[in-house]
Amino acid sequence: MSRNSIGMRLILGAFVCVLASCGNSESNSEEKENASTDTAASKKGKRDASNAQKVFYALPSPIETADLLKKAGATYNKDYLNSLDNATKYNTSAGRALNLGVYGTDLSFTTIFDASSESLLYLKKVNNLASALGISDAFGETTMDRMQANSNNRDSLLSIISDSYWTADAYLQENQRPATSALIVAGGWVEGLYIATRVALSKDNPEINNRIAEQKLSLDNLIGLMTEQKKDQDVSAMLSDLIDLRDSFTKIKTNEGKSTSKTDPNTHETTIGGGSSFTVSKDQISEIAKKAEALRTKTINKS
Amino acid sequence: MSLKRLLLVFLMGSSLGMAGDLSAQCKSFTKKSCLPKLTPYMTNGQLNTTTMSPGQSADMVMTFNSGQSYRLVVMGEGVLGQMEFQVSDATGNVIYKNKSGDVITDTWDFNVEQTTQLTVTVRVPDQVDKTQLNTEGCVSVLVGFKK
Repeated sequence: MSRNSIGMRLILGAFVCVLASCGNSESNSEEKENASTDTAASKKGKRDASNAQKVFYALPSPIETADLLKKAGATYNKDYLNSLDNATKYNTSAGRALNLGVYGTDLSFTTIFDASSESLLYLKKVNNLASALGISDAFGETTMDRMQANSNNRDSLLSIISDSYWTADAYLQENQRPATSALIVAGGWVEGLYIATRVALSKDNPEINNRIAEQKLSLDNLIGLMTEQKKDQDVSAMLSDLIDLRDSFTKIKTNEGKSTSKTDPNTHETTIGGGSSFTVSKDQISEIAKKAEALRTKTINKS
Repeated sequence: MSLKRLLLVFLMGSSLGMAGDLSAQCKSFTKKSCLPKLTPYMTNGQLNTTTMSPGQSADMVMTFNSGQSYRLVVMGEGVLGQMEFQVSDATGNVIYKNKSGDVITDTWDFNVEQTTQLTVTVRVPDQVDKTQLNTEGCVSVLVGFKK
């Protein structure tokens, strides 16, 4: 074999290496185009997000959702949570990922409402599922010990849970498992919506109804997040259900106010005025609740 | 297996390994340099990090809820310089920029009167020395909230 021939082969190999790296990196133009198509942002004719090399779709954490519902007047009801007994069902990666999200939301609710004994039980299930997915460091014995040591300090517990979820997400991203990460986020969001709709159906509360309506915005972002991973068949299946759910949210009237901003010179915190307001009817809440229940049932029964 | 095919497999495997190394590097950078800046706010639990080069931009789209206070932390590894970012509302109006004159900040505290969707656009400054090989480094966008 001549030196030129070997050289050409090495150059060819390096070229393939570059192509392989590009395939593993951030959203290609097709994925960005699909994500833009599916998000409310593009529907509103916003600045084209595809100018960016990467688009992150972030969602509020389940802790934040639980906190918002509590502030809106929700009371704790353990019947709303996924039964601990269901944990034995979850034997596939998708079932485990989705229900790690579900139980994580349940853990957030028990902690926000100071149901500390139940928090530890849900933490154990979260730990088991995380271990099965290979991310035991996030919710392992150290986390359990820290939670027990801080069982009377809600803020510390919430901080530990938040940090654990970050560690889990970081591990999955580092190990090229964004689809698993997306399923965890989706499972958690579905559970949060389900609980919110149960609360809404039990007692008419305009503030809770408004918080449910606001999920219209988060759902768009969740669909964007899932769309990026739609090559995964489990993500694709969940994505179809979320798009169907979005059809119900689309019926809610949304008003976009002109944004203003004012910064406090002492605290340097900016207050943003304007934003979205929603007009939602009881019938619309009922429709969303029905779909949320169906999707949640499908999720917690996913083996 | 031919020598050519073996080399192909080896080089492809190496490239995947390199992608993993970059992810580990970004995670380490985020954990050591960026997460501490969120305190006393709680992370939303998502890692938003990527490797970028000078002149590139990234968007983060998120819903922010009324009644909560938030902190945004945007940082890049030292080789990239200080990140510039701006925040736009759902209609594309820019409501905040982190660069004012020569002053660039990497955190922003805010609250919203009504729940709203915001887009954070992060941009890596252009490379000053054009004769240097294109650098790349990790960029992290973190969101924290306070009850």
